[in-house]
Amino acid sequence: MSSKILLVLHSHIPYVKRQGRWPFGEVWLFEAMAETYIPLIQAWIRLKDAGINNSLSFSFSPTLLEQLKSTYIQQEFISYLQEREALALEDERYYMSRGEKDIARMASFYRRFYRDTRRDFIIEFDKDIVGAIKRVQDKGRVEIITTAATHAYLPLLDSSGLEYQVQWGKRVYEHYFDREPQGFWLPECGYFHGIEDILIENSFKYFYVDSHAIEGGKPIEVFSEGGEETEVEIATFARTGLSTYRPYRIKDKEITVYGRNSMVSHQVWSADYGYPGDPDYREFHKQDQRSGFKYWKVTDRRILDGKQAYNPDQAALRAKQHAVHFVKSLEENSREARKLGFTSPSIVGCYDTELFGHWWWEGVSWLEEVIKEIHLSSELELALPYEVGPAKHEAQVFESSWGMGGKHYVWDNNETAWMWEIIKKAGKEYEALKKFADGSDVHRLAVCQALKELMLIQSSDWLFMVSNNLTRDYAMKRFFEHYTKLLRLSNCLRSNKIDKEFAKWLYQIEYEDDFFNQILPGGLI
Amino acid sequence: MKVLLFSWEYPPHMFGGLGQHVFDLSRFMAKQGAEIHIITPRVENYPDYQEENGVHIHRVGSSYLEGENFKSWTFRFNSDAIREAVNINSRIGGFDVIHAHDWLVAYAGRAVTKIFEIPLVTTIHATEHGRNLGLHNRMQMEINEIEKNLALEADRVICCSQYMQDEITSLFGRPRNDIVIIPNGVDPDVFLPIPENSRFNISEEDKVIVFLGRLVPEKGVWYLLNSFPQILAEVPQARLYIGGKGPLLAELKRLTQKLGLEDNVVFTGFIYHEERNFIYHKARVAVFPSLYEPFGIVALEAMATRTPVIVGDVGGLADIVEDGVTGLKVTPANEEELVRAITRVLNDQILADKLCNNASNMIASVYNWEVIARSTIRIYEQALEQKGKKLFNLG
Repeated sequence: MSSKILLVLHSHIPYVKRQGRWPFGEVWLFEAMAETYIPLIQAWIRLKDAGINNSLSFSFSPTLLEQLKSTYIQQEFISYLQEREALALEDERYYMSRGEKDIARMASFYRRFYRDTRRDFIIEFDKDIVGAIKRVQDKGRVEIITTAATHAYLPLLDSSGLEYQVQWGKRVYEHYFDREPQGFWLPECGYFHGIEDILIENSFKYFYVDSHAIEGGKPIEVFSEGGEETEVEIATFARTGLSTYRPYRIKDKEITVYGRNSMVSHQVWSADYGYPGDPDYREFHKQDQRSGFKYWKVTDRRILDGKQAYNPDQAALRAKQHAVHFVKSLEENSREARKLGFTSPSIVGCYDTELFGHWWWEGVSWLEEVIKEIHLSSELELALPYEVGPAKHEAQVFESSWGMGGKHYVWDNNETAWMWEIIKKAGKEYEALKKFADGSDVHRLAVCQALKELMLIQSSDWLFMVSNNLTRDYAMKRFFEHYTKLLRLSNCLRSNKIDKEFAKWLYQIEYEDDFFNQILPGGLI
Repeated sequence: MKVLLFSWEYPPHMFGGLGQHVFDLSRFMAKQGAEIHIITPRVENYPDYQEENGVHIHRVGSSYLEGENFKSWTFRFNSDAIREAVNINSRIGGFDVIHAHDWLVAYAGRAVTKIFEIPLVTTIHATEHGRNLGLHNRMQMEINEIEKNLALEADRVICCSQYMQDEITSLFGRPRNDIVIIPNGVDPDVFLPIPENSRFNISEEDKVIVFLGRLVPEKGVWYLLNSFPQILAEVPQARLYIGGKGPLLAELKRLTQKLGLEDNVVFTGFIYHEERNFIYHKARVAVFPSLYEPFGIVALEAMATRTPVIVGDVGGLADIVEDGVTGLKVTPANEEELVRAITRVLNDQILADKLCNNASNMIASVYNWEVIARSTIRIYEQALEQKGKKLFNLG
């Protein structure tokens, strides 16, 4: 029997719609759409058309789904693509006039890339990326799963917050995909004892955790962007003797847990020997001063000066070589597992979707090559979770995450402790408001909006940005603004100031933070 | 006009000059008929709400405890300040303007004004870059970022001197035209009361030189002390009073010993109110040889007590003092000039009287809280007008 490869891609962008465009805000979403989601879906359609097994678990956060579904975002995305195309054309002319042919050629590539993406987005996707994903799921071997409503970091949330995050994760999924989600992606693989009960209540069948959650030992550190002045707390986990080569049933519970395979993750993520740092790949951090386009290759990832011009053919060749190498490692890994006595081991690879294409420009081609190579391998086979389960063995899982240190450090540290206090206060504030939902339509709408603001406050993104000192001010501004909105809603409801002016303001913020709209008023919890 | 001020300092919660500034500004604006509310941190044994001098004081959150993570405390205070602002705003039927003082209240100011569509005015009293003569660590860079966004987002920015206007423009890129200079003020009445029995024993022959301020390098007090033996050589009755506390204290005391000045130099510790007035009352000259000074309120206070001043020719001090007219200026860190200026004032009573008279007239006309309060209200009106137009155009 061949080894089963379970590939999981988790996609998420915080809710940035109508909250600034550049340098912080909607452009994050547009970049992911153009560089990751569209090319990736196209690759998956190509694989399917070629008769290749392209099994994939594909997680989409509800905030991302809602934004991709928004006609405003769809229109703005088209303008964004037009702007990029025009900028690339300017660059092409500029570098041509200076005789820098390599750069000009790359600018010309970008011009065509954005032109073609716009055409495909309008014609092939009918501007609806979610619709395209749905078709891929309905007609193929792709299983879409859901996650927490606004990607909250669940292990530290209060119980009502947890319920909202899980329930709304499920409802939004059902709204867009017309079926019940089977799997749940724990944001950041954040697990604690008890979360499975809420997942079971909502009829989820499985979820994923990081390898040390099952096997114990030293956590693999994925995000290595720690602040230089912060001391990371590395959690220690006792060795359990269990293995991620098989799924487990959580002890005494009817739910399956899959553990990430550490080798498979490391190979791709590691800053030291992961693929994306290869000298031939496109450099992410250096941008053209005029246009922001990236024209250089990594060259030497330790230094930012002296980058050489990017060569797409060379990079494509490297991506192919790396794919072959990766599949060889998978084969070795699976032989290793057999030696340990697993007759049909499963190997789980979990990644952030945006790694492919956005962060690692060649990542989509690499992934496509990997799928093809696995298809050719006699030892490996891509599979979906239900083809591996149900789990026969039981396990207890450690409280953990896939973040630095293996536990909650990235989202809960000296820099963010005050944010958790506010998150908890906001939760209490909302609980006290629920009783007003029985009032007039405006009352009901105000309570719905308060729930949305609460869930936006709970997004793990703000904590992550503050911890890592990345776009920190944007994160704090958003955090405080949603909190202020919640307090204003609460104040007006409690003091019964539900007048015309309030209604006007309410419609305005409903327009600003407008997700879960079709389903919220009828389904308020 | 209903105005909300966010300030992390307000009497009795005082660290630097910020608390005094907000205290005076608010009571003088209230005197002119504005409804002024202040949200500030809680202080032990002080009420959560208090009306004083016509100003509504609201104290929220917890008072800062030594050793606590300062940033966390600050942001938590901002969240409590927001909650209070939302409640008061609805109770009083809406603020016309919100005025945030310095980065410590930046997020409260930005969030409340954005969500309630109220104009935001901010006073940048000093910058992190200026205070530290550059940005040297993560915390300083973060504060700089917060100051920058506050300065860029506010409808109007107020600063206290030409020097600060230049700094805000060059550091944060806010155009000069958007930044209004309103100087700090001083209320001469505050300096009148003198204790019947002072703890300081100053004889009539003593020629007292006084320095008041935080004992930190940027205040230049080290140079003053180091040059004191030369002053003594020329004026044997000279006595130096150093008032204030700070990280430099131990080093200054060591230097005093090394120079053998124990009998001629007095470290008073932190002094204020009547004791401070007493020292000024006795002093022949006040010296503020700063290396960095956004404004220099101490110089104005000394002027209000009719003490001649000598200042470092830097920042706001350079704006306040006209050399040879309202005081004397020296090049920062230049001991030779310092000695010459001090001995001149101590030995030339005609010069000293002239400097005092001119300075005192200037205080009454320019650095007068009534004038400042009026100018500030005028800025509020402009911000309101500006915001109204913007909203109208959007609508």
